[in-house]
Amino acid sequence: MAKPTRITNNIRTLRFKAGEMSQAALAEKIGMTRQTIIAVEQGRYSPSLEASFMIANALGASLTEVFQFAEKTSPD
Amino acid sequence: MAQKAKVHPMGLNERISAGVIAITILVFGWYFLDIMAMTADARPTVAEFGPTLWLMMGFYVVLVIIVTILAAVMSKKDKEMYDERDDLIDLRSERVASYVQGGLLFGLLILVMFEYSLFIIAHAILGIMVIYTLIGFGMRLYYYRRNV
Repeated sequence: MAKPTRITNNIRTLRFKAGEMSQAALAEKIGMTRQTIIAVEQGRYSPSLEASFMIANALGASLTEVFQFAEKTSPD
Repeated sequence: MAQKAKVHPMGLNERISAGVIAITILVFGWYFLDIMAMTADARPTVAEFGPTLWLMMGFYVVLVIIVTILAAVMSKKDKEMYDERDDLIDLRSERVASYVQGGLLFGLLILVMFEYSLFIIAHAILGIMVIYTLIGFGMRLYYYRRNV
């Protein structure tokens, strides 16, 4: 099973805020397949920096609004 | 009411992978069954099994081309789209298939050392190629379906 990445995202929320944009519409807007968007949205694939910027731009948000990095808590 | 599982549509590479797996199983399954029937009584010479082998290889290549064209037609929209995961999935699936191939090649070396017939060695090589293809494309399909 694919290991989820430590990068979390708000793509789903931002898609709905951006006029209920579908995954297919977002994918088309940035020239990527819908499957890529699904994988990114589910947190199973960390996109490249270029793709991250494209997704953020398409959603009208900043990179940090779309993606967050989950810090690993160190064991005591 | 039963809830329907959410199924993601297949992309171009997934369709090609599924098609190649199906063709490989059908064509080579038929070939190995045919060869096994041939070897039930005697061990055929290269002249006996060679034409069937070449015919099957040609048939396989043609079918793979047809499946690729069909998959491209079915995924017309995807063709112009870019899937960032392609390279990563290619690398991962090739890696798994290569490990298996390495192990099987070692087995082949043992067959050569024990001087098995040309017929056995040729079909062991063919078998390794078939397994490599099935594992490679199978893993590709798995990774795409798992949304890696």
